[in-house]
Amino acid sequence: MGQIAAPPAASIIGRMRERPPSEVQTDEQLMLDYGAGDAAAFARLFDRHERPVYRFLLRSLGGDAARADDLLQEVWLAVVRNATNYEPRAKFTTWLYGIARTRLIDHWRAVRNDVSLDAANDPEADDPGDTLVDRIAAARTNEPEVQAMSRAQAQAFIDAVEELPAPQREALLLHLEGELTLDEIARLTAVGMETAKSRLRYALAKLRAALEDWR
Amino acid sequence: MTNRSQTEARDIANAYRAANDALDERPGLAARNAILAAAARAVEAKPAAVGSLPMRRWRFPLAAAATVLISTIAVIIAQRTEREMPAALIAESNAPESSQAPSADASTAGKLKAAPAAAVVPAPAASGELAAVERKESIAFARQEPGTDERSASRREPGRVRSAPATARADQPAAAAAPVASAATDTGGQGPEPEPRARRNAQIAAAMPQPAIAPAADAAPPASPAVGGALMRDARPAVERAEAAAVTSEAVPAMPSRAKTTETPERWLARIIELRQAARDDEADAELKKLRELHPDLTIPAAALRRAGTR
Repeated sequence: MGQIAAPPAASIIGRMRERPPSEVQTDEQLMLDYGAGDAAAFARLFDRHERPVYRFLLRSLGGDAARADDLLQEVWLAVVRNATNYEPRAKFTTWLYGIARTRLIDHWRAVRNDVSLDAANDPEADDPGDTLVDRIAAARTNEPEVQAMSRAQAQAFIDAVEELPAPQREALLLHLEGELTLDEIARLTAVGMETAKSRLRYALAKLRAALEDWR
Repeated sequence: MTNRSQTEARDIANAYRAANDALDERPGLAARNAILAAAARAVEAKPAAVGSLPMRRWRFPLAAAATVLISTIAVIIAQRTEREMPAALIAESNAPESSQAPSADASTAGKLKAAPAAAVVPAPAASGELAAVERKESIAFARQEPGTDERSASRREPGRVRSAPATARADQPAAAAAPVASAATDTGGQGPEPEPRARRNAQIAAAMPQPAIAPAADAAPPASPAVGGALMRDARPAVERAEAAAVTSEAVPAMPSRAKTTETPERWLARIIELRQAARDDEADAELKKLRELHPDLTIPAAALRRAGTR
């Protein structure tokens, strides 16, 4: 198995900024503070989760940035509306991505999209693997020595993610963006633990195959 | 195997994050600003909302309680106002009856001698009121079976009516109006000249609240002493005012000032003419003067004017 290109230092710093240090207030505490009237707490919370939630929506919507903006707005407005009633019974991210998932389902119902998170329960649903690999391979630039992923490669990889079957993609994104555990994913998507685990495993396997072929 | 799969998963995660960093996707500025603005607005509105949370919970019960309280107070005030309404206003409302039965005044007033009670100024309108009460009582007595009510029997005996104590009548106001009328019925036109005391009794009857009289007259059975007593207590201020008015104008068919102001010019003229016919020219002049002050454009008929050479 070949080595994956290491992310640039700037991106690592950026990710560190996204992840709260241990001494920083937890998401749950920030949410409670906001519910008590602290607007700055919301700003901090929003800074932490704005982009992961946006990417979760964007990937789930197949890259539709305008629709992702709309849904992002709806998700955070729902957070604002429910701030006074918020009770930290579960992780804030579980609650937040639950709202995002509900908004996505509403959106798909509205556009009568055949692809539904709930409809496709088969973890091995339609696999566009071959085309995905081809696309990633085609996206390879003539720069084999680059350390960082080129924009085209990144886009090809993200396309591969977006073309995963909806349940697998959802499990993968909840894991990667929301940093939810398998148990949390299972509860959020209302499936068994084993189903969630197999969805995630299939998703990773397909992406790995794409990456192998790419390299 | 497990380690390998974990390593592969970590590789995929790293690749995914690297791709995110390379693409650097972020939401539109407008969406971001809208979210932050909405959050700020919600915080601004929050203190009031949080502060009013208990108020919100009690809003509807409080509103219902306030509505009931205000309605009750309004009803009580209306009832008290009605009870304390001056006798003259009640008399005025029944004034047409007095014009229809003018002859009843004298006989009624004569018989009122038998009715003991506080004295009040006699007034034509009050006489009309008495006439109305008398008619109602007559109907009630006609409906009543003889001997069913001791008081009704006593009403038929003028002597007993005369000896009826005032205190008893005060406790039974519903029955108080009845002897007045019954006396008139029984003694027919045999009574002596009207007396101030009898007129005062008539005024008391007029001053009593209309609902207290009418049901007693219609239903014939004697009213409950407790209820009657309460009604009588309510009627006392009106009686006292009427008594005070009696001191100033004794035995004259004078209308209370409030009634005068609301009396129609025609009825006023008719009363003035009656005064002229009764040779009470001074009173008629006074009334005429007041009438002219209030209705300067009214044409005064000759019958209402002082005849030449009468002074």
